[in-house]
Amino acid sequence: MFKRITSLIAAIAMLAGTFMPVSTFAATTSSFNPGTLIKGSGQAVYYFAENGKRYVFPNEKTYFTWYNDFNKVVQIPDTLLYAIPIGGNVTYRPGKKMVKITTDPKVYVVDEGGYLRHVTTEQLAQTFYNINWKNQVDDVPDAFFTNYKTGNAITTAAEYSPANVMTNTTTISKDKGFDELMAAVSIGNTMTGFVPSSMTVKKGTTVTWTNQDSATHSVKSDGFQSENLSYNQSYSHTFNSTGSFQYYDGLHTSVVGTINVQ
Amino acid sequence: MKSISVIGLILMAALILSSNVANAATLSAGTLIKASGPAVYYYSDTGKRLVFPTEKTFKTWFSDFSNVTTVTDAELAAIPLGGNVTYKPGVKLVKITTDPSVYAVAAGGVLRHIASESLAVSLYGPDWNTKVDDVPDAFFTNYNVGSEITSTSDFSPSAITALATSIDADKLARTTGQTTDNQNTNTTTTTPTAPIVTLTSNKSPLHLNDLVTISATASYATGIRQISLFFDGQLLNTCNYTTICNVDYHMPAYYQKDSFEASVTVQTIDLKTASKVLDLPFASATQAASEASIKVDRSTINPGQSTGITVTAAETVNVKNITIYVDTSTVKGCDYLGRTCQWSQVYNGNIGKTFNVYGIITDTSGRAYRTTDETITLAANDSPAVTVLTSKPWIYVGETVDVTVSGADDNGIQSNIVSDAQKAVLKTCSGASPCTYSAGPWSQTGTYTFYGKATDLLGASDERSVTVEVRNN
Repeated sequence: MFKRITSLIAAIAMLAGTFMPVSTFAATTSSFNPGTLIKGSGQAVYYFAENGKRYVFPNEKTYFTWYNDFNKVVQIPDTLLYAIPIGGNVTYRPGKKMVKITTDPKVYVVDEGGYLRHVTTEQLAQTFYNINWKNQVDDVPDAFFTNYKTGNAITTAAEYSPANVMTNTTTISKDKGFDELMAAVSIGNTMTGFVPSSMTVKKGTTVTWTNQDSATHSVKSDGFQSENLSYNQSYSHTFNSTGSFQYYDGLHTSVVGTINVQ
Repeated sequence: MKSISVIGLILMAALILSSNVANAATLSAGTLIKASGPAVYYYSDTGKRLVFPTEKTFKTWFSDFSNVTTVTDAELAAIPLGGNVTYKPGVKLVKITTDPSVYAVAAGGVLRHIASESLAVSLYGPDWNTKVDDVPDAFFTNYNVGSEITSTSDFSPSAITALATSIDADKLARTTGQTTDNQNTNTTTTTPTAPIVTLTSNKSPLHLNDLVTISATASYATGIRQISLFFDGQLLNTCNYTTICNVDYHMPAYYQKDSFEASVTVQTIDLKTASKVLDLPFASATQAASEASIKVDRSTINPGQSTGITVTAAETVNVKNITIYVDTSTVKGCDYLGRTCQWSQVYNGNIGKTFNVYGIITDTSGRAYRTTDETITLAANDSPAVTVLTSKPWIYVGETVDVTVSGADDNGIQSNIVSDAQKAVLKTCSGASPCTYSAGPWSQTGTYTFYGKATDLLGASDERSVTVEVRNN
């Protein structure tokens, strides 16, 4: 009995251990875009979202509902990782698997936005995930159940289609409802500078800079300029023309950044 | 790998519990529960079970697993999960592995960054770094990040711990985000047409000097761009790209108002706006205020005897009227008569009967201050009427003052005693004659309290206090 439990818990706790990317990274970069998988010198991998925050994969199973491998993970300096606030946890990719918790026999499908919907009959589970539907049910640890919201129970097959919800959620950002025309830069201290220092976005994107440092900073460029930003204050600018836009911290002019607009 | 053994510990501890099987129907809120599995849950007053994500979280609330009730697996399954328990406020400092910032835990799972090491030392002692726990990244989302702590007056670990009397009480203080609200309720997944906004205050009504935490949550399908919090029209905090925004507001020591208004404005990613207003009344006359004091001449009397009640307002109050109540009935109202109101009456009834007395002072702006409640008891032997007087109401540094205690009682007085603020006896006089003690001189200014106690020949006694102010000359 106890063995079964340890292995279950081990699956939760192993996340860091199994998150070693396939290739080793000789160099780190401070240039990355929203939607990138990032890591520091540690093993944990995060999803960098349009709101400038990093999202945690609570366990390996969650990661593999979204990605097959670690090939696309970008390593960044630890100091930069520190400057990016945690936004929350990634939930299962909708449609990929069904889930349950250990202490409740109810089985749920995952719907867009991290909603869990109770599958009320075995027939429905078979319709969605075939005769072997039981192999498609993952146990979500109790402590991560709170990351999900509960939606309406499913009583007819027409209410849900695994294929359709997967088509609608090709990225974690889409599942979380982030606007693709948003991007965010964190302002760290003078050592870390702008995080990411260089970012490529689509034309029409609004970039928001937020000061995550206790000291005052600003964002200054030829075409746009912020007020002085104290801790947790933000400034936004919309890039409506393509090109490469250099900017710097008006109070610490050695700190520079670039927004590439395509 | 380290975290495995930590979680293992919780399980082990839970496993060796003696079984104390209870029916779910008899569970009371606040109970720790488990079924045949190892995990222990907190049975919340919302009827849900809350998860302890780590053993360290459990240990901030409970010292051991001795009070866990076992329910059947079916009963446990019937209790929905209600989210995770967060650290007990004030007990520990926390950080995450991938960010060197150290946070104090405030009420409702709000993390507040400690701005400097010297501040950490002032708040948590020189060994503060032994009190820092690493919270796994995946549980960081159970917390909300609040404003930074920049001075010691901004945060008191002991006070904040004392307020968190239970996990339920702490959850109540929490800014109930939409995600938590939706938990296990049958909400539809349709896109809301307007942002859903909540606005709460951890205190209402408000008192002078209160530290009020105003919290707003907003949810909307395309996301929230900005939440702005206002107190009486003054912008206090702006939070970007988050669904939760908090701010602490320190009530001033004096305020000429009856009510306050907290408000929030929310802007969504697609530029829809919404707002909400929360009216916060100033403290009503339900709780004792330090501005109002009450004195009962004799707290124990014979049936048919009379005693006086004096209600006094502090000098900071612009008194409009003072009302004295006996057992919730108005017995005396004083209008525009200065700072005091007095009332004396005969109390009848059987021996042992008690009367609850208090006063309410209303100021010119309509605000009410209530005194503490005092009791007048009818007894076979009444307590003596005690008077404590000083020779001068205030003195200069270096001067002395006489404190005189005199008692009066039908049965005769056995003794009069003068004591200091700690009730240490300064002088005892036998018999009915007044007892005078020459106090001072003091080298420091301040207000000094003396107690006078009189005891009658049958052993009943009563005590009164007097204060002397020492000023600089």
